[in-house]
Amino acid sequence: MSDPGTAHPPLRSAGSLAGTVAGLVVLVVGVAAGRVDVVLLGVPLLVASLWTRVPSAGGVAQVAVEHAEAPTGRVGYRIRLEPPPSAEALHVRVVLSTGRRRDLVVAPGARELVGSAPTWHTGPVAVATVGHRVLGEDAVWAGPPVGPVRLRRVVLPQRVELDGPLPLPPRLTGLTGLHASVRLGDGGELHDINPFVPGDRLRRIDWRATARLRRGPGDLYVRRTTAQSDATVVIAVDTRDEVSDHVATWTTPAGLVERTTSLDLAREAASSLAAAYVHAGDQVAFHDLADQGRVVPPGAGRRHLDRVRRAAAGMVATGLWTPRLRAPVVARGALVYLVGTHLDDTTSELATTWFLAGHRVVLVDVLPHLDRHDLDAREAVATQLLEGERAERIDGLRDLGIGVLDWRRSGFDADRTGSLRGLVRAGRGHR
Amino acid sequence: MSRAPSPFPATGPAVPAFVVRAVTVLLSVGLAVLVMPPQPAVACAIGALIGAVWPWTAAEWVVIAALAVGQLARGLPGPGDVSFHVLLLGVPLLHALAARSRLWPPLARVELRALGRPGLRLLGGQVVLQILATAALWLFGAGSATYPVAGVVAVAGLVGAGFVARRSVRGATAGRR
Repeated sequence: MSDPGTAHPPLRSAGSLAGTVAGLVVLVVGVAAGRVDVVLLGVPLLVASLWTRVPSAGGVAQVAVEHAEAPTGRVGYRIRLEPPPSAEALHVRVVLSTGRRRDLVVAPGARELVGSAPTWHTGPVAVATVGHRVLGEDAVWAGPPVGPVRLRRVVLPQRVELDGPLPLPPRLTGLTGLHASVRLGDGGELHDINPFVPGDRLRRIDWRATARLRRGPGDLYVRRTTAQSDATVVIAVDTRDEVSDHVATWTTPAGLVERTTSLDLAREAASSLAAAYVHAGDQVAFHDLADQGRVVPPGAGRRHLDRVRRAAAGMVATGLWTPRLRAPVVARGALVYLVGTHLDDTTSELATTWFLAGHRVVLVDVLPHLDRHDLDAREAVATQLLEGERAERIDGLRDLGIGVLDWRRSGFDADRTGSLRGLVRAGRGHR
Repeated sequence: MSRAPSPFPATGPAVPAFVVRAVTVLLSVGLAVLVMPPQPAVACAIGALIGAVWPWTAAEWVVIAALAVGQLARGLPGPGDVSFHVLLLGVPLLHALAARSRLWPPLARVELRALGRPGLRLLGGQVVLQILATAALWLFGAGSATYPVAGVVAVAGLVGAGFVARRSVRGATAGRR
């Protein structure tokens, strides 16, 4: 809601002043020449300019912007207007998240304006920013520009359904879960038939096997099963940068408008991976590498998934370019998904550190396929060098044994599922 | 193929503000052609165009003043002089349009409903003004026997009385509150 208390008082408009001067000139000329017709022409100019008084205070409308229902893919907004009684019209300026703006001059009276805008981005979005100015009667005065009043929403990313098996960490921690562990325990598949030893439970005795295998009167055989366990998955996102596919606009904020960015893909990847693992009964943790305050510790269940999705949706690019990222503490034996553009060595150093510490690491690539339009010769060469270094870096990590998941827009969710299957095959043999 | 819906809020029927500026220019040109010789009319047209494209120059009010003062060259009209009555309608209308379009950005969408009340006020003022003008021209215009300065004084007196009456009504209303 706009705050009228901080606004300056309304001012007489330049048109009113010009009309007053013109009216006076015409009136004086008419009187001097003794011409009633000329005087008659000057009178309405003076009356129009001076009849309406300029209010000494106020001249500000009450404006509020709220959420409104909208079709899928769009975000709705409602602008509530309450101009003062002395207003002839209200000038409203609406600016959308894409930067497009429109000026409206609307009739006075309390009313609502409803609109909906397409969402190009996920995460925190300023859906609509509204400023206004009250226009007085006969355009004699105008209130000060007031605003802006913003409607901010956090647009949740769409979830990609990841069908099929998911990569698992080398060590399954925990005593309950949906995955078969190689450790002995309860709840899993048959492991072997073994002679009874102290500590075995009596209900595990397999009488058929005992009848078949026993040699003496005291011999007993038990069925041993594997334990069930859950995996711990850590999703770590590098939010230092946010770039679109149009390389020529990487140095300007306008480049992010109306184009899917790396952070949009990162939110989608984090949200989809978290959902897939939570539905598989595993524990998921979330770390924003550039914002140490945005951490969700490992957990499972629907509520935990909502926490992770909200944390992922709330990510914003910090814009702080630091060559060093502090590696967060990762649970022992966890699988780490490292999401980012990987435009420098920082994330690859982190990946290597975690890999050498015994974690399974998967690099998630969210840099959009680059569009080289509008680049001059030097910029084209620089882009080529950057891409070459990045490819070499990622290939080096692949050779080390770190998996790579390409999340960039391919148009088909099946491509991502296929990539995950490849990672599953490469990583068979968890303990 | 259906167009994507506009992301901006819908209002009632509206016109772009630059259309109002264009109407102002056309009105200025029309009045200039009606009451002025060719060369001053062309100058007025250029002035109107400058005022529409660069409103901060206040060129439009120079044109308005020129139209009114140019009446001097035409001679005192009689009560039945249609072109004078058209000028009497056109000058305040020009001021109203110019003053408002100066406050609106050129690409702004102006709701037609926002022009309704000002239009009615202008119309009401015109009724009074045209009656006053007819009476004044009948008494003091071309062909009348009365000294024209008296007409000037009478008109000025009527307008002054109107201002005083309005202030008195305002004061009485404020006192009652």
